[in-house]
Amino acid sequence: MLLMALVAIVGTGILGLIPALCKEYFGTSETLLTLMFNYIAMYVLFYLKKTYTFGKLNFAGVPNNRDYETLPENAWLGTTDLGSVTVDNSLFVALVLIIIIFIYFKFTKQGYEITVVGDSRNTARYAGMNVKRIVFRTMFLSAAIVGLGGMLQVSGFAAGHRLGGNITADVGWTGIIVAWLAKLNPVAIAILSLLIVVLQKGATSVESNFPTMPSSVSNIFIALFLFTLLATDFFMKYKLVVLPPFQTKGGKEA
Amino acid sequence: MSALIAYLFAAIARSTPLLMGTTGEIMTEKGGSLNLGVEGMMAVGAITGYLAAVTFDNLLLGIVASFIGAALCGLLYAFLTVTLQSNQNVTGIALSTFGVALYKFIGNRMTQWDGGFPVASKFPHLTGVLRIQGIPVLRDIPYVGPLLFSHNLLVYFAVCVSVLCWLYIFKTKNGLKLRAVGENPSAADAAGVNVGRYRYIHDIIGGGICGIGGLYLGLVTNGSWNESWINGTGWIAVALVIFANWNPLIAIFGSFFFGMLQELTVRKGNLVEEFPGLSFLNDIPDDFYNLLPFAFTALVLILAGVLKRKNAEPSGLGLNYFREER
Repeated sequence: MLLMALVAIVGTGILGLIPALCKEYFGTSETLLTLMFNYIAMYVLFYLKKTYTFGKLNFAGVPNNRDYETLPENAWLGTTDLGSVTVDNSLFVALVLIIIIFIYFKFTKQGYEITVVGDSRNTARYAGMNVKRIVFRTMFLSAAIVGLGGMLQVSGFAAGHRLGGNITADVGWTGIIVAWLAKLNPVAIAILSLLIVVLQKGATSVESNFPTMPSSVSNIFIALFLFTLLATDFFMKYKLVVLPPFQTKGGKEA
Repeated sequence: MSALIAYLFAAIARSTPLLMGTTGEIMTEKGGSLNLGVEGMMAVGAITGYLAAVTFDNLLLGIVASFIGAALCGLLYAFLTVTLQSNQNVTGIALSTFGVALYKFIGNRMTQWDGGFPVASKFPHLTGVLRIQGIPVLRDIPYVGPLLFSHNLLVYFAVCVSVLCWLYIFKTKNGLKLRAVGENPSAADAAGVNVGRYRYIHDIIGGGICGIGGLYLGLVTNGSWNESWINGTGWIAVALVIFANWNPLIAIFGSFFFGMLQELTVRKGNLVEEFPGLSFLNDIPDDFYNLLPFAFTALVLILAGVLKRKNAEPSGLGLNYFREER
């Protein structure tokens, strides 16, 4: 279990380090490169589950039906009984992580450095920070956290303690959206993830009761939230003013 | 030989939606907008185009509707990123989520209606047009005819659009201005080019072209409802833009190459039967063929940086232009 977590952290951390290295030394666009890595990693995962060593066939027959075997029990993540509901312990790991990250950003030197580099690389450089090292460290850490999330999902109860075909279930994309909705604030991320999950699971159960309401409606709502938020950002910085006619020639709105 | 021709033929058919998506995204990216919403725009274009095509039993109206549907998504993107200065990557990803969800919503909702989701093959005029195979005299040339000149009309339409886009981007004055906007918006603005207007127009047109690619997936590749019409084609198109070095002409061959790789997963058995020397194809797992387009693209991205070769990536790509920050 701990070994599993360690491998997940180091493995994804290194995977996250590659785009950072390429960006810093070769000027590669990290957006595009990580997008490619998404799919490369996904297909490697698909492939490995079909091989004998990793897959340990559960189903005879069609190769596509093969899936990873259930993990041995000592790699299972425990569950906690909270009265009427049972939750994966990954919830508590996530909550602890959020607190740690909050402290990391707010009260440590490293967290402050990230903020400065993110705002202005030049400012950071003039202040004597090693920008490259900070970028590498941050990319490693952030990828490691993401990897830990995936590992917890696999060993958790909800996924049946095994690596299914759609283990990520678009959580990665939704994660980007949540991070922006939360304005990159760890505490807000916790609240928003809860809201988003309520919306998604709610839509699924609505669909099972009212088949005329497809569950994809939740994703429409989520995207609309984000569009609205992205739009309002602008209006928090600017005020719309109707200029009197004689000024419109020179004054152009931003 | 027949298996080889069948394979290459299918690869061309498979590459058509990719080519449309790529050409549209090149138009968008040349103006400096990194719109990651291709998947969503293709999905919206697919559903609006499909519904218009079956409602009016007319392919042309389908194309127009898919263009308009996806162009509206492009307009939304342009409004958010150009006028309201929002982050391009996040807006694009939200657009992808939105478009795919909207497409699934409409499609699933329609399966609940009487008669279910309309099946394309039930519409005589539409299928009649789609069944027109290629160019009359040329398709009788041995080998070349069956391979290149007996596709449905949308395939040729896609190639024409790509060539036109290439001519527009690299050979016209407006194309030059567009590239200037993508490379260095401040300089373009100083030279009197309206940066915002150029980005708006090309986000909209590029989005519309992507939408027609979606229509191809819905109408020709599938022809009836399922939830995976698009199934990642938009993301492959984003990769292909890089692979094709932001050039619509290279994109024609690039999409054919990607189509060949994908088609191998289906037809490698037939190929090996006819050419026993190729038996190694069977030993390579399917996932590897699916992985290769992305791996090649990642390689192109990294190598362009390592060799310090100037590739055609617009230097202003992904950055909003903000006059106040000059």
